[in-house]
Amino acid sequence: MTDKVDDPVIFKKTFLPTHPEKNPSFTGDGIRNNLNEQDAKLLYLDVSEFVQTESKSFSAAHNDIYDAEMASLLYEMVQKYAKNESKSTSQN
Amino acid sequence: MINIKEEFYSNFKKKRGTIFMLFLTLFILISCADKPRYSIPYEDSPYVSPERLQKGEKILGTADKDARVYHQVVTDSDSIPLTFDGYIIGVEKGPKERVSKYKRTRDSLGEDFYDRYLDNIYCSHALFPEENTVDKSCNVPSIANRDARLATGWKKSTLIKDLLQGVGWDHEEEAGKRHFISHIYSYSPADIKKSIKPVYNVYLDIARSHPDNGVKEYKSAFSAGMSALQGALKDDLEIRLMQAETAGKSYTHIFFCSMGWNALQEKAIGNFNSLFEQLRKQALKRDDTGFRPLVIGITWPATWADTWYTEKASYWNKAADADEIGTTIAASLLDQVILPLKSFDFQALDKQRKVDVKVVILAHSFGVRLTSSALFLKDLVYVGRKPLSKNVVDLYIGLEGAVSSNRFLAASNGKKHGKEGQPYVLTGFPDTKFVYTWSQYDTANPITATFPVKLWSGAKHIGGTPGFNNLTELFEGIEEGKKPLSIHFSRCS
Repeated sequence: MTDKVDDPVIFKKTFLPTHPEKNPSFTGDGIRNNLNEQDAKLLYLDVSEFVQTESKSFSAAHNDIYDAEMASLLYEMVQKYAKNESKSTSQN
Repeated sequence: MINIKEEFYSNFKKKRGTIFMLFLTLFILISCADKPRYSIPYEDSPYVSPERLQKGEKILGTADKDARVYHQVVTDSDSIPLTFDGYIIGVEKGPKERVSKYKRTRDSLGEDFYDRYLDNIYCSHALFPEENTVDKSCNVPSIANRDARLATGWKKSTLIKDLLQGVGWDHEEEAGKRHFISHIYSYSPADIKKSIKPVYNVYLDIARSHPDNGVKEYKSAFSAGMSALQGALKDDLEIRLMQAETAGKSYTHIFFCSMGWNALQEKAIGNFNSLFEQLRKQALKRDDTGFRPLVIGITWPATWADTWYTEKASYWNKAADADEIGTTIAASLLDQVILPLKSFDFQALDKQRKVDVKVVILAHSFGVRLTSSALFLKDLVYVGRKPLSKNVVDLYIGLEGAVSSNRFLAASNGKKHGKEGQPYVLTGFPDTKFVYTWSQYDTANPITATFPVKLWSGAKHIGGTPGFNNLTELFEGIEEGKKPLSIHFSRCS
């Protein structure tokens, strides 16, 4: 069972260590460029640039999806494909 | 000496009332301190005793420690809450005979029961066999007829095996169990008085409706949970949207989320929090102060976490569970609750305007399997029950999905591929933008396509390299002009 911490973000970091050192030069540009494929119904996106956590245990897989790089991609996808035009204040 | 004794007894007699009260107070304080806190009641009722909650747990078969972790938000007021506006929908698993009206009467239905059941599998009555009957009059759409299903290989799906034979491959303890919604909790972190509010709690319902100790089953658990989705939750959501609109803080997006394999409830909620905390930071980084997500997270019994080997061995069972929950509970949640909100109007506010909210599905690993099955198959599941919502999910994001890439495409020559069939081509792709991610460094998803596990599974999960290679090959094998959808394959150089 897990230990409890107050901050859920720290909670993630407590149990899901990541390995950003694997790709220190990550910029995300390659992935972002693929988002321009607006016409494709299904975008099958290679996120090897930042999902790199090796996993010997199923339960600890893909820890880096909770990091800022993935969040940046998620936010951009939401803005590009599901932007709420009437409410968003984003300039993107 | 005698005088001292007499004086002591005399004083004791005079103050025995006070001493008794002191001991009573001490006893009460100790009693309270030793017990865990169960401090989340319904709004209209005070505290509910642990004994009453435990009674419900025993009836529903969720009393042992491995089961209790899936209703931790009910039993432990110190558990990690959702730190964003939203809901946690707690799904649990209990013996079919105890949590629904299901009875094992397959033999009495005749030898052709399996085929007849297949012919009706997409009817709501067949998916919810409360009375254990197969409705022959069910209006099965042509696309879902038996031939179509056989052509796509869906007959072999874990879902049907699960529904017919009970969840699981050949694990006796697991056989004959059914998923049900045990609780729905609402979270409003900014509201000091009602930051956590139960919308539905089967344990409290049992305590209320069966106060005596003689009850050993609660066959309404399954149907009550489904009713709570379409009743209490939907009502609560509509009120919430109206209040947000009135306060000038309307939500921009509704996110429906599910985590994957081996995620206990507390871990799943922690992961929801992490994802949305990071998203919030990204929005602020871009000066998007209007980004207001409403999070609806489903938690489910995603592990046999007793030992490392039972955890691993649970793969097939949990894969089937994800499909079952997806095509039943999650499909209903999407079709009957979330999507209709997009056309909900604010009549109560006397405003001739509708909700303006986008719907996004965001899932990980087995959560991708759960939500994909819900989204792709919901239109078949609910035919014959109620008019379908015409609203669509705007964006689907599947992170490192643990679902076979074979499910998405039927080969052009009609050849079946994979062991999970091609169920997602039955209805065609919904009018939704789909994004699935994969990584060459994902070492978990490819295991099912690696010897010796591939002998039993063979699934080329979409989240790993085998899934990417397989889907690319399948897609390229389809003649131009006959491709069922457009796919953009992304590969980092």
